[in-house]
This record gives sequence, C-alpha cells and structure tokens, in this order.
Amino acid sequence: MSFEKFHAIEALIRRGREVAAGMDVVSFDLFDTLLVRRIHDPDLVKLPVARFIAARTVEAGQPWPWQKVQKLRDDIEKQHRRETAKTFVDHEACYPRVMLEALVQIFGAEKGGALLPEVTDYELRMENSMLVPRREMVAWLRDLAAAGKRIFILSDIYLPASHLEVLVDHAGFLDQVEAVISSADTFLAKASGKGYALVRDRFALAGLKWLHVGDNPVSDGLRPAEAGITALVLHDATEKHRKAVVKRYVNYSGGRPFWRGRALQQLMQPLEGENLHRSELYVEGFNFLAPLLGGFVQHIAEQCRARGIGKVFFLSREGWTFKRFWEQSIPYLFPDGRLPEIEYLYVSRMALAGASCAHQGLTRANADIAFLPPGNRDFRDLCRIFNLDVAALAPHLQRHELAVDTCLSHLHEGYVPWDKVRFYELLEDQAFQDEIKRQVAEPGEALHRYLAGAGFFAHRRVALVDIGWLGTIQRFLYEAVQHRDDCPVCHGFLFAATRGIPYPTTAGNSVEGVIYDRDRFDMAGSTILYARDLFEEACRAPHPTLNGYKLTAEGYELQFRGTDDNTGQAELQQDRYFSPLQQGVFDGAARYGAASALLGYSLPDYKPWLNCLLAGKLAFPRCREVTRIRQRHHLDDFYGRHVPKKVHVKGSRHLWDSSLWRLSLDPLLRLRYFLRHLRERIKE
Amino acid sequence: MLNRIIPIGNFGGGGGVRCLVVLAILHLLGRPIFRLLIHYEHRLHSLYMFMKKLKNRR
Repeated sequence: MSFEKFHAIEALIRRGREVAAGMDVVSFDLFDTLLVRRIHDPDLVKLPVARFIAARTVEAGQPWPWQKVQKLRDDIEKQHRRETAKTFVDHEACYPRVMLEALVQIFGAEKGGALLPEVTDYELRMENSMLVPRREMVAWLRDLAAAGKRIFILSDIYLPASHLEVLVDHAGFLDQVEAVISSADTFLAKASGKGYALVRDRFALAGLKWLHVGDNPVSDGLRPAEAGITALVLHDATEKHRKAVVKRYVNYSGGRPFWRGRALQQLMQPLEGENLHRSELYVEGFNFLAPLLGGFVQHIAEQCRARGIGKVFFLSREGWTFKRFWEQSIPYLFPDGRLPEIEYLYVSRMALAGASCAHQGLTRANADIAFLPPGNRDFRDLCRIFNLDVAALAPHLQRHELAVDTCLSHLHEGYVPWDKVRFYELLEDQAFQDEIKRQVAEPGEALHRYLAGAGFFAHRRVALVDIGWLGTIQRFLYEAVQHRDDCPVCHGFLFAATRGIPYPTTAGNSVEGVIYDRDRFDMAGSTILYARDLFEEACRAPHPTLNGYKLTAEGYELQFRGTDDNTGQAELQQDRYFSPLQQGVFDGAARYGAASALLGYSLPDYKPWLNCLLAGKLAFPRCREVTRIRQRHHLDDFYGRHVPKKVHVKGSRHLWDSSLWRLSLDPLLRLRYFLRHLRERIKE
Repeated sequence: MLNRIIPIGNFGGGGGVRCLVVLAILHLLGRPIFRLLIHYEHRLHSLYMFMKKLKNRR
C-alpha cells in the first residue's frame, strides 16, 4: 500500500502515461493538480465576496464592515464542520448551506435567500479569475479521454459538484470528464478514504483498474493506495516556488505600501497556457501600461460612486482604450453594479474649438491656447484651429492694423509685442466677434444635437475622461454648453494634468489629474512628461480624428479627418505598430480587475509602486526600451507647421528624442535629463 | 530622508531591506533552492513548526 511521489509535473506525467496504459479508470484531484490558483492562499478569494456582501448591506441600510461579514462566514463554516463531524468521519461543509445561513443572518430569510445566487455567481467568477488549468496535466487528461478511459474529478472542498462543474467548464475540459465529485455533496471525502468507496459504488467501478492523481500525500496518495487504487502524487517544486513569491509580495504589501502595486502585478501575471511567446511591445502594454490604466479607471469609478456621477463620457480618441479597459475590469471591482452609465464621445480639440465660440465668441484665453504649440504662428493658424473663414475676417484685422500673416507667437521670428496688443484689441471688437459667432453657429448647433442624443444633458453630474494634458477638450466642451439651463456639472478626470495654462475651475466644471497633476507636487509621477506622446499613441482609437460637427436636416453629422494624406497614412502606420501594445493593455484589463478586487486596494495603495515603475521606465529607461516603445509618428492638426526660433527648439528636447547611440554611450545622459526635469518641476 | 535631499516622490516608504533581500533570493535563487529542499520538506516543516513554537513561547 504505497504511492509514487514526483517533484516535477513532467516526471509524473511520464510515469502516468506508462501506468495509465493498463488502467480503465483515471481520477484526478482538481485544485493544485488540474487547476492552479494565482494566489497562494485559496481563502483570500473569499475576501472580495465579503466586500460584495458588505456593499449590499450598505444598500439595505444596515451597513456591515466586510471583516464582520467574513468572520460570520468563517464562524458558520466552522460550526457546520463541527456538526458534520458528529455524523461523518470527515469534517466537511457545504458552501450553499454555509452562505445561505450567513446571508439569512445578515439580511433576513427572504432577502438573504434571494441574494444567494448572486453571491454564488460572484464567488465562482472570482474563483474562475484566479484559476488556471495546468497545461501538461490537462493535455494528458485529454489524451486519456481520447483513449477511452473513464475520467473522474474528485475534490475535497466546500463547493458542491455543481459549482465545481462551472469551474471545470470555464477551464475548458468538462466535456472530457464522466463526473465531477465533491465531498461537499455527501460529506464523504478523500481524506478518510470514504470518497473513493462512494465513487466505486456509484459508478460501478469495482473490479476495474483505477489510477488516481493528486497533490495531497494523504488524501491523494495514502488513502487511494489503501483502497487498492494506484496513486501518483505531485509535489511540485516549481509551484511551491511560485506560490512562495506571491505569498511574500501579498504579505509584505500589508505592512509596506510600496509592495501593493507589485503584488497586483504578480497576481496579473500569465500562467501555464496563458504564458505564450509575445512580442516585446505586448509585454510593455501588459506590464507597464495596464496597471497604470487600471489604477486610473478604478479611481474614476470610485469617484463616480462617491460624487453621485450619473454618466461617464470617455472622450475620443484615447477614451476608446479607457472605456474598453473599464468594461473588462470594473465588473470585478464593483460587482454590486452601482456604477454610472458609460459612453464614448466623439470629440477633438479641433472639432470643439469652433463650436465653443458659438455662444461666447473667441475669448482671449482660447486664442492663447491656439498659440501654445510652437508650430502655430499667425492668424491663419488660429482660423485653422477654430475652423474660421480667413477671408471673411480679414477686413476686421485690417481695421486693427493686422494682417493674416502677422506673427502673433513669441516663439517665432518677426514677433512684435504691439501686434499681440492689437490682436487682443481685435478680440474686444464686437463686429469681429459677431462674424465669428455667425461662422460657427451651425457646428455649434450640431454639437448640441449630438450631445443631447448621447444623453449629455440628461444627467445632473457627468464625468469626462481624457488622457490630458491641459484639459482643452473639456474646456471647449463646457464653454460650448455652459449657457444651457440643463448643462450638467462636469467632473473631468485626466490621466495626467500638466496645466500648462490655468484651467478655469468653477463649481460646475473641474478637472483632476489622476496619475499626475501639476497642482499636487509629485516628482515621480511627473516623469509622465518624458513621453506624453507615447501614452497618447498607445491609447488612441483605431479611427481618424474628428474634424467637426455638421448640421444636417436630420440632425447632425460627424466629420472625420481623411486618411489619404501623409498625416493620415503616418497615423495608420503608427496604429499598426502599436497594436500589440494595445492588445497587451486589453489582455491586462480583466486580470487587473480580478487581482485588484482580490487585494482590495485602490490607486493610492498602488501609487508608490506605479511611481517607481514610471520613474524607472520613463526617466531611466534602457536603450532597448526606448527603441521598443518610442512612437514612430505623432502628428496632430492642432500643431501648425511653422518652425519656431532655434532657442525654443533647443529648450524642448527630451530624453526620449535622443538618438540611440547617445542613449547607449552617454552614461550621464539620463541623470542630466532627470536633474533638469527636477529643476523645472521645482521651479513651476 | 532621501526626499529631503532629492524630492523624487512618494515611494510608500520604500521596499525595506529585509523584504528586498528575501525577494532577491527568491527570484534569483528560488528555483534551485526549492528543487533541492522539496525532498526534505516534511522534515523542514517540522523544524519550522518547532522554531515557531519556540518563538511564540518567548
């Protein structure tokens, strides 16, 4: 009566294939044999469920802390095990009975019973998110099934067989198995050996040759051997090592906030069959961008719940990625469903700039925004951005001694400060403003119709989510609609807020930089400024930018930029290059949601690690990283084509624009740029 | 302390020397160590429990 023990899965399967040739029946243990958990301690999966129940108690008006919910569940489970032990040898418990009793104690008989299916669904969803099939073991199981062996799965656990079938089905091999048997249904477990007798009787296996494979030396080794079943036990060193690493990160994160983000990343890691060869860009998307975007959308969702925001509008084009990330990650984090509606809004600075003038005209602040990019020089650039007809406005310029090519930006040769003064006087000219309002009236009306159709005016509070950096899109959008009585309170959430120009914050319109905000001194977070274009390109939607809104008889029409010219083609090329990076981000979304729900942390907890990640990746990147994730093209119609004075070009050089040979050979290059960055941030 | 000299930002108090050493060993040498020690896990577990008991008594 002995069993064979193996310390590597390959050795066990090799031996198993030899032994199984002469067997009629093969049974497998489920957990740690066919399925492995991402987390070292299976009990940690119960914690998000406790948090979910606690959220429901808040809705019911009798708030329970989640720790109290968890303690009640544990106490009831212990009580059930004690009760079972009076009648059976094995001290087993059954999840539906335990959970029902817990819910009834918290919510009362009627509501508790009604909540059980919902709680069970979430518990199984969390289990599924944390379970990964062992590739080699499942492949062997498939071979055995194809060879006509009778396959069973036996597990000693509190989940009944019907629940285990959900997990096995999700793992993709339920169709290969004759039956799944759980000790929770009969309280006859493998640990006492009675589970094997039960299976033998129920499935008429007497006289048949039976092989059992598992990971517990007693339940899966000694007991089947006593019952005359050939047993192979896996004692896997690789798995022990993996779990030891996860355990340290999770345990350290309790006392040291620095490790919380790292623990999150460890739980997100692909395992077994998920761990395929991927391109380096995909890995960067998964490991670097996904945790950052995850923290961003989780923070927005928390703020929406706290502030009572009814709808989240993800602004094009980066919002496309944020919305997709939200859809895949947020259901894990907020299973109670108390979330705002979400919608992708087609906007752009160019499309909104003109529409923002329809009611208020062209303001001095908005005109100054147009001259922020160094490529914009004169009135023609202003007209391009605000979609104005230069010819119709030329007489107004002449009245103020200006011409369409008068230099209005101090970054360019030929700039005369008096011209700027005359330009500001022009902005005070009522006839000039009336002409502007006349020109942009139709796009302004089309925008209102579009927003009304998207439900923008149907909520008291809305969130506007964009990548950054000045909040110009939100500024233009709010200015276009602020005169309406039904204009909602706009809460802006930017991935990073650089605030190069002061944002006109009011009670009805505000912006907040989530990962970085210049208004909060955050040196490590500010390293985002090293490669802003990288984040824009990585998150960009696969459609061209919006040029404007056109008023039609039916309502409105969205006018997109063509992709036939050089800019459009370069953008397509860039999108193709970054598509593996985006895929990495999307594949990381659900993993982020599950891992963060399990850990119970949010952005402030992850921020120390994310800061470390940002500073390491952006301020002190390896040469290879720069080569890999530096964008090929970044073009924007908002930026003009004029070349500023050399002195301004020199001052705006960045580490990520450096040539590869400099990055490789200059050992102090990164430090120099970092010290310059520090100086600039402190001086701000 | 470092933040007073160079304000590089919030790193949550850092990783901690002990944690960094343990994790470095686990990442760099963990695989061969676990492969070796897995054969003596039962005896090591007994030793670990004995040490834990001693620690708790103190």
